[in-house]
Amino acid sequence: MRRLWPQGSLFHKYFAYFVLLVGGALLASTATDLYFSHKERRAALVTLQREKALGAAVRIEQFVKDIERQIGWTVLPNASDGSTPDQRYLELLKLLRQVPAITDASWLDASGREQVHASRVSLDRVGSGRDRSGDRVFREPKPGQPYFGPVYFRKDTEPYVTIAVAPGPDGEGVTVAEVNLKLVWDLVARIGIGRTGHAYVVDGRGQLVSHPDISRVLKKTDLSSLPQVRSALAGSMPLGDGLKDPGPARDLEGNAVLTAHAPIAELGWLVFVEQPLSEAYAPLHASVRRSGLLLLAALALSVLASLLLAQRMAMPIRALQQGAARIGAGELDHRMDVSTGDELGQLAGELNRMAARLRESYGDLERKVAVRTQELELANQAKTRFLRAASHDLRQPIHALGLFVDQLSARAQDQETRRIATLAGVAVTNLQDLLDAVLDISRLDAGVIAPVTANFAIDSLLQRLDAAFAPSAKEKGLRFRVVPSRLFVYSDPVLLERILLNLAANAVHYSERGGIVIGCRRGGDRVRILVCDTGIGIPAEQQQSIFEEFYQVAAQGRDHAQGLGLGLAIAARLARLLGCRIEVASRPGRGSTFAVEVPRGVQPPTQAPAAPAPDATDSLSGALVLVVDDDAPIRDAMHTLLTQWGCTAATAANGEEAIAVLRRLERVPDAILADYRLNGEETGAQVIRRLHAVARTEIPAALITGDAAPESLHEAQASGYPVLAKPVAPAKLRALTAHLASASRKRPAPGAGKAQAAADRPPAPTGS
Amino acid sequence: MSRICLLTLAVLIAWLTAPMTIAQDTDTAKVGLIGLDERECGNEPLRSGLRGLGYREGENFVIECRHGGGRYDRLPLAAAELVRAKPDVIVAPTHLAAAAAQRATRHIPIVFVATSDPVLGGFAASLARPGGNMTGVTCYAGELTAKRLELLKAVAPGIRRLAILSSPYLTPRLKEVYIREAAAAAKDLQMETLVCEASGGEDLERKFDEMAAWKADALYIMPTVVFAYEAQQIADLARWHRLPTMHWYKPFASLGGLMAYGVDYPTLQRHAAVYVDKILKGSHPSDLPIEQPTHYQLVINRETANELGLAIPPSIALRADRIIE
Repeated sequence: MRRLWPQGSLFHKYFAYFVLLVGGALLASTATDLYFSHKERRAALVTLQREKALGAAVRIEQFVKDIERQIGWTVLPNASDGSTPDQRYLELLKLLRQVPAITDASWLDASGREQVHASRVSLDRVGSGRDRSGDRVFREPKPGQPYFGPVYFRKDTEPYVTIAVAPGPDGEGVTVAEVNLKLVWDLVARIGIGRTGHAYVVDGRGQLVSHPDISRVLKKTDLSSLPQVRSALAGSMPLGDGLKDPGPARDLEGNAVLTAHAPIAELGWLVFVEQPLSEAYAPLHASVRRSGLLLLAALALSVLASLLLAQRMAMPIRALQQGAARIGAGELDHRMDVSTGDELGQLAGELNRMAARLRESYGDLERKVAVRTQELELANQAKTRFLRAASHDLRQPIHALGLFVDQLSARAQDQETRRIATLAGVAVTNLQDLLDAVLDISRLDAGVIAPVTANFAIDSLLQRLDAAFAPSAKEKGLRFRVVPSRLFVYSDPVLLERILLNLAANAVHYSERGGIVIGCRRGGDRVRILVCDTGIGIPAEQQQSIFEEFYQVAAQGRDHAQGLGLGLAIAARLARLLGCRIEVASRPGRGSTFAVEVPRGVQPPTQAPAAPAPDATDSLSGALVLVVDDDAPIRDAMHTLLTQWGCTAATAANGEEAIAVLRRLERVPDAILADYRLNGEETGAQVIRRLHAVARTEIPAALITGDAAPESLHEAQASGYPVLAKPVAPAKLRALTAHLASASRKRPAPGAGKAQAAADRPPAPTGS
Repeated sequence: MSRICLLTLAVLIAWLTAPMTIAQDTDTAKVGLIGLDERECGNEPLRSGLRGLGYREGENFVIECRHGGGRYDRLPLAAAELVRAKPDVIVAPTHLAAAAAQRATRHIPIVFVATSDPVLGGFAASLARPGGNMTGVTCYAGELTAKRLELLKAVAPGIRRLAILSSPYLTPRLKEVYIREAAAAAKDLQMETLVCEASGGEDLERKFDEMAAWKADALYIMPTVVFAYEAQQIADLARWHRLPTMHWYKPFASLGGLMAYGVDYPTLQRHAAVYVDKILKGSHPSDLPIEQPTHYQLVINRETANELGLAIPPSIALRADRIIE
């Protein structure tokens, strides 16, 4: 709940209001109800007690009246045989028999002399004549108004009262009876109030006369110290004093009791009825408890109801808020589902409409963006198409140019012509490098190249670097050192070499003094190859830019034409292809250190012997080579070049011509060099296959293509023949041709020259 | 804040749901009982009294009874044995049993049904406040001796020589008081007295012979429980010797004795249960007043009276609670 509804949310406020309202109303009604019912019940309890007390008083009075009446019989004149003492004696015995409570009875004659005495325990006396005329028992009773003596205790324990009854006008003497009050016990004990409540009787002095627990009476308990007894005795309350609250009362143990009393007027005694407060109020407490439980339940219900109500009220608002937030966050499709039918519902509708409008305009925008994106893609495709076409069309003339310049320098007789030929050769080489670099980047970007990883010794690679750069470094007056290493790495040897070639070429290029050190460092399962120079260095802010195309560190006094700014861009792309990256640490003027980190490799079980370097001169002399190219200048150049290398060359422009040429030749050619993309529908690969069919032997063949488009390269490579990309350096062409020719000569029935794998590698790096 | 609310709520609920259960005392009370013999261990009035107060034997009370095998001198042994069983309260249904219990323990509450004066017997300091570990009911009242003799004389007006049957089991002090009372009352009623002390059995026969030799014309039985046990023999011997006899033990008349004036003994036994109940509920015997009977019953055997040639006068007939025809 707390997370769902943050502190201070509408839900909490509503919830608090509802709970306060409903709970408050419930509490107030329960409290007033309890107050009044408490009052009524209390009053009812007091009334009930008073009635019990009155009832008890009436019963005790009745008991006494009964005794009184019984005694009355004995004082009546006996009409038949007078009232002899014996007769009186028998009357008293009858009285004892009738009233068990009377222990002793006497009859005093009119002069106050005791004539007869009968007792249950002591000796009876007849005609003792004891004078009791001075006693109150004789003087007090009047006809119809008996005398009740004070309560006294026989043997200090048994409560007794003396009752004296005088006869009516025609009777004589007085009958005195001693009444054992223990027998009132029955009456009092029978008055039960609740579970433990009871009645008791005190006499006019507060002496306990009767109590359900007879022990209290036998112990002569004085109750005049109890507040309720004291006040009752002092107040001499009339019977009807009724509904005055008896106030706080205590029993003998000091427990609070609810009490009421009623007087027994004739005897001057008081009947008290009491009940422990805890018991008297138990039903009251139970009802309070019940009400409390009900209240709790009602409160719980009201809390639940408040929860529901608050939720019902806050939910739509929350939905609105969340909906607005979602729309604000860009979910324009979101629609608020608030169907309360009131203002909130209308608000939700408005917001939904607003979101729809936003959605529409947004949709327009997206459509426009999509159109633009499509246009851009089309433009990109056009660029790619252009590049592909351009690469082919550019390579052809450069290829031819290179071949011609080579021939020219071979034929140059005079110094000047040779110099110009050399310069032309350099220019062609630069042009080739530039084109290669541009195409390389396009091929890397096109993802044509897939790394072929293997375990190999890093040292062979380092040695090649040494061989490649030691001479040019020495020429510039730089120290060039490659630290030998026995480590193996796991990477693509060709791609890694190209990266390092680039880095080493840059190092040589940008260093004017000092030297270059190339070495490896082992770090865990990685090998870090470092190329350190003492060149111009790279400012920190440029250390990222150097990996972008056509970026060059400003080198003072340097001829810009010397570098293209593509080397590091290619190296970075290659590194990315190998899954590693090139790190650079440099300080301007102090030099730079480039590092490539590759996984450490293991030594392969058997090291394949390095492919023997093709022995160009030997294998080529006397070889018969068939050249298929649709470009006449290239055919001428190739013919001249091959002838120069000591070969016999036959040329053809297309497949048909090639077959014709093959048939004209006196022997099967040692090698076929075919342009991949020929005029017409046939490709170079198809022509080679037709020639094979005609010659009935697999003449070693290679494809040359000027098409840099990745898909064309793939096609050419898929044919299974070695592929050279135009423009081809004459030296490379010579090496390949020699290899093909030697393969042909070694086998009587030539299979295929497919062993040559290095040829389908990308061209050599461009230097800088 | 919410923790305080929860706490308040918990307290409120605890108070509201507090059930009004009354803790039931499931302990079983052990009520000790000393009897003269096995028959007295039965004590049905006591049991019914306890049942009437809501006790259920075997459930919330058991009666642990030890008896003297019919011999008075074995009662102290039985009492000592009972004390070792550690009862919650001891009921002594007779004066002799109470005396034995008193010697056995000063701590375990003792409820007695005393045939003799409990104050003179040394059981209690006073009737209203016994003060020790003993309380109970008594069927004795000092004036009763005179009353009994008065009633005896009312039935047999001619008697002049009264034999008084005493018991060696009465303590000297009690015996002295009883004899003094009886002698005084007899003197008031113009009778000479002879005190015979009989322990029972053959001794009783000898004593009756003694009385006959002394020419006794009436017999008074002292209030000691021994003579309740011997009631049948006394009744028989009295008829044999034609002695109008007054006993304190009500069944005496039914057994062939002339008359008895006393309490209903089973009622007292039954009432002892009230004391047991109060003590089990925590009252101390020292605070429980000793109750005296409120009603004495006069029983006369008309057959025996006729045998003795005695007429029952109207005053006796009026007083008699029962006349055995």
